[in-house]
Amino acid sequence: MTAPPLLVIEHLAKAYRQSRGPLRPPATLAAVADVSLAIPRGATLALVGESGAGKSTVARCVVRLEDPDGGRILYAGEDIGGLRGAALRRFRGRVQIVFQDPHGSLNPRMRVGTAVREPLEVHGIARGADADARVAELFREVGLDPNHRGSYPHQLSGGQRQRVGIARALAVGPELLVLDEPVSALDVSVQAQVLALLRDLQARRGLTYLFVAHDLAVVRQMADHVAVMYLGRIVEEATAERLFADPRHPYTRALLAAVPTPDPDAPPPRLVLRDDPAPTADATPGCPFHPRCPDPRRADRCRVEAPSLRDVGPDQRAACHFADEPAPSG
Amino acid sequence: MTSLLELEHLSVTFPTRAGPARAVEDVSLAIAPGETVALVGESGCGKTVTALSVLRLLPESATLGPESRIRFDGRDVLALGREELRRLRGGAVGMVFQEPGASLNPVLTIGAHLVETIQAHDAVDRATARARARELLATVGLRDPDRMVARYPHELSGGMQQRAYLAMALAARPRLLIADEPTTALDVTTQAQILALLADLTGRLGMAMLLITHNLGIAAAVADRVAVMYAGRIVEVAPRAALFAHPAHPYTRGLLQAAPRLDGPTRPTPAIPGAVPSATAWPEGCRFRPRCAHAWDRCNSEPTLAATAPDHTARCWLVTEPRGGTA
Repeated sequence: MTAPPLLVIEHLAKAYRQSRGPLRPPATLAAVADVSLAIPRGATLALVGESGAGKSTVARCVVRLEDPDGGRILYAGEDIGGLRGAALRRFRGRVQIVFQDPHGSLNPRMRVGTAVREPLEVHGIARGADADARVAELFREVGLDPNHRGSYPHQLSGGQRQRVGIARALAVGPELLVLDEPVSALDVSVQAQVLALLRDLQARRGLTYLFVAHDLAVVRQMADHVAVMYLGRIVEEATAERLFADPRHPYTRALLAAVPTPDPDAPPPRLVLRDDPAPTADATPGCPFHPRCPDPRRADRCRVEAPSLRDVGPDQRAACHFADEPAPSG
Repeated sequence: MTSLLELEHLSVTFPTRAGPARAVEDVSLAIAPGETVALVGESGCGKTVTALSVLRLLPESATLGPESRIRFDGRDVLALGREELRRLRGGAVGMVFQEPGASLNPVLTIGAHLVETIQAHDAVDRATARARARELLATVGLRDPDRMVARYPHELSGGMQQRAYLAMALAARPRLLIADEPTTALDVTTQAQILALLADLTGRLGMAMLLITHNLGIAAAVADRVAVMYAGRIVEVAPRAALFAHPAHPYTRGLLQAAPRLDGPTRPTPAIPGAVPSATAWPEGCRFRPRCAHAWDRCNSEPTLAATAPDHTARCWLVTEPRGGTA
């Protein structure tokens, strides 16, 4: 891991304004606060957490669908915030996004072959017969019969539509794919097909993935590195191996305990976390997680002092005052 | 043991532009009082249509096959009049669906929802209904019921909405709860809360449950028995332990192998090739044949549900004529 990372996110912050009625000034809700991450070329970083944790906001900032309020994102060493015109176009040729629901992201009135061909023409990569040949090649690469080029999205199954979404993203020859819940809308038998395809494409094309997901069992199959978000902040970050073997943040442990296992002898999903997150970390002094924290070591300190993300082991960082010590048993 | 709910030879067909869609065919399933049965399968397999049939909530265009029988507590549901049907829905049979937000009226408080539901089934005065509403909110684990009754649906999180919705379903002390993907729209931590609550409620209230889910992990956590549906038919039924320990149908085995799990391999799990076919064009013979690694000549004709063990049935030729298999 001596090569410089392909993507570096430094102190990313993004807030949204929320109306509080006509008589009060709008509230500012921090969707993402001080997120820093790096992805080595060819690796997969998974971003996990509950809905509202800020995962998708990070993803959208990385592909410049949103601009951050603070911090910066470096792609191959270059700050993407300043990219305009031709430079921004070049960036979009290197970084593409695949969304959760291909039904929502594909134009229902456009044949799927045209949807894959469009980026080739927009980016001036190919036209005419050359573009036709490339579209057929892309279809084969993602495991679709090129005869489906004339189909409309509704005529395809969910798995086929997601393959079209992947082919469209691959058309411009990107290096980094942002995968925003790419298999969440798919049935389990098809989900496994698409995950295998993504692994395969990564190996063949040397792709780098930012994989946004809420399903930790899926993440475990895909990620080299995992960052766990809670209320806009990273609360734990580690190699996948370490995070699943020895999670140090009580929130990570709670997420893992809640995953149901298809085995009647396995312990039932544990009711570790009560209630819901506060609407935003700003409303909570001290550790943002302390109102829900099930850790028996939770102390007065957690109510007043916000823990910072720090090293707690080799390739592992956590934002918990007690993260250095082994997890309490039971 | 007398069944609380009995479905016999249930078949449901919808007209579509591509021809009749045989969404459910010849489904027979019984649920005993207090029993939780999970109906498992992927989208398009007929789970929800089966659930909606129980209370005759299917759209008008749907037709039931002539052999179809639905009995609840000994009564023929298909012969019920409008008023009797209204009393059954939300009465002896409660329902919760995937999107609680879509099922709650945004301009009514949680208390108003509950009072209305209680008074629709019990001739009680408003004060009694309000007191009962607060009890129900406490039953589903919502804190501070006195304040909760005054809140509007949009003020609640998804998990709290699902609890409030569940309180409505319980208002008339149902003997059967039909829960269609009740946790699918929720985060995994909230899902764990709702599953624990459902398991607790069925035990405490002696209520039976028909739980529709695509997630085998959820079935493993809460069901007494599991029925697996594929392409409009039940392909396997077994007590929970037997289904997970000795899955007999290749589709059940495929689903189990495909499910990602925290204690499984770190490589992608083996997928089932292909996809669920369309209900307007089910394959001839065994409907799973085009996706099945064990298919052989025999599979050109359709197998029936056959016993593999007491209480365990599967619809596969490998069960009755195992010598033909490649396994």
